[in-house]
Amino acid sequence: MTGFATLADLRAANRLYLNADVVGQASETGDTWGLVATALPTVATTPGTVHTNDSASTFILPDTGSTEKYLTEWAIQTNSNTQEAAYALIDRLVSVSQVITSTGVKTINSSALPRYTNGDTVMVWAEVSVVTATNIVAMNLNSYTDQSGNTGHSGASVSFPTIATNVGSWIPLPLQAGDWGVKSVESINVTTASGGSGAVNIVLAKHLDFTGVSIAISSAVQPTLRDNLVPIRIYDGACLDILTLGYAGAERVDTSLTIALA
Amino acid sequence: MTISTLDDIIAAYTGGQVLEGIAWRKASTAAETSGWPHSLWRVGPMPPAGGDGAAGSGTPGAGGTALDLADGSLSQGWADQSPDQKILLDFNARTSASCILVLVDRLVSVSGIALSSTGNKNVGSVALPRYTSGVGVQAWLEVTTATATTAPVVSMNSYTDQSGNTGSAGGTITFPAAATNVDTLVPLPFATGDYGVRACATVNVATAGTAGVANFVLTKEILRIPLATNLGRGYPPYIESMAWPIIEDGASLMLYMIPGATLTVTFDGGPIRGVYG
Repeated sequence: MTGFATLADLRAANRLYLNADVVGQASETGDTWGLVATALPTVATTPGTVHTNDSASTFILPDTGSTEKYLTEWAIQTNSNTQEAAYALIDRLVSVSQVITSTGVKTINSSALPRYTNGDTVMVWAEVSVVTATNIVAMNLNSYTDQSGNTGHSGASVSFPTIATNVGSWIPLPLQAGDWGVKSVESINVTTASGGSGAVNIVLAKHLDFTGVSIAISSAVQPTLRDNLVPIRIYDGACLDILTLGYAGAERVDTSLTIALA
Repeated sequence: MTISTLDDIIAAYTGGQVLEGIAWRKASTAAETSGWPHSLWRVGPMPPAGGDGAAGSGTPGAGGTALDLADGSLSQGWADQSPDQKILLDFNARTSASCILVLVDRLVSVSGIALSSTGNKNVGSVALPRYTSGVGVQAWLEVTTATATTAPVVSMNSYTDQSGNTGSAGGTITFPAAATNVDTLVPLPFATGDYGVRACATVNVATAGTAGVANFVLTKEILRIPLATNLGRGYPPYIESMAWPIIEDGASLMLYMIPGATLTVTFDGGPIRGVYG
């Protein structure tokens, strides 16, 4: 690994600058993460879709081979929100589409990770792809392979925020105590099903960065700049998207990344 | 590489000497009252709730559990690196209600301290696994069964201070309510002049309720950040900040909140990141 020998080297490095203006999905209120993207990617059923330079991603970086890429700044400004909100930058790795209109164990058998192949700190989310109905859905990771290659692990149950959970909602699926990552998901267990309609993408993703936006003053909104002391490595093929937390509705954001090249 | 400068941090982190924990979420139980600390150790969902530890003992050094990268720690994935040091570089969080969020290393936990009868309760806490001098180590009662009828009055009846003096006795403290909620943290005062604790032999319940059980817990504070509702906030806030904490091998990182009101709070945070060298 090359990296940077000094802070001066980091500051002097060539940089890529990427900008995006995005209108997101209609987020839920409160404590539910929502995808800030115009549309969800097309996702296949088991073993799912491996995401590499996905055209549906908010940010697509050029592959640079042996030249390493490091995220050094991330700016985001909300043009919709009139309250504070938090944002996460994620790299979508693998997604598997699954209908959830019946209870029971559902086969996922997700494809191998294209990046972060050791599974360290890779998390699993249920991304709502068809709005749910009738019941508050409950599910858990029934069988997965953890970061150390141990199979058959399972996580605690989680309930969706509401009966009709919006498309683009991201619900984190807890891991087993002691685990800190996932290499693959073999199955989920739907203990309370959606009635009539409802589907999710089971998404394995890497949570890269996290920031927040202050409350608006009058009609202006305040941007936030996350100047990373910790330059975060971005790998070739990355599919970068933004999640929002705390805003209800289809949020519009202007956002930019600064990538240093080593 | 030994880390002693900011350049060293940049070189080590981009050179692969990286420590990274998982992104996390904690949903608290109902806080007791504004300004009273409330533990997030015993709740999930991510990481799942941590354990209470073994019970107390009448034999000093035989009670409870010394925590070593325990299940429930936010630092799962931060492998031991000795003789290299681990430096915390990045910790961030968002809250559903304004509060102060405190990150501590949970060192020792002794379960089953009964608050429903008066008298001295055996703790006999095991030796500290880290910060063995006891300097800056804090002692708490962490409510695991809610109290009832009368607010308990408690104190450390016999403890070993940061200088190794045994048989020290701390002042009393009254629980915040007759029915004090589960996960409330009650700080146990030291004797005048003390600034740490190595071990506790007994806790005294001077006034008891008709119900209530607590863990006796020893912690070392790492950092605290004030959070406004929904606003993600990071630590350190500026690149020039030099207050980067050292995280010891085996650290079992736990959170507690100091709420602004009596309510339940949901927290989300990105991966805890650090570097070793």
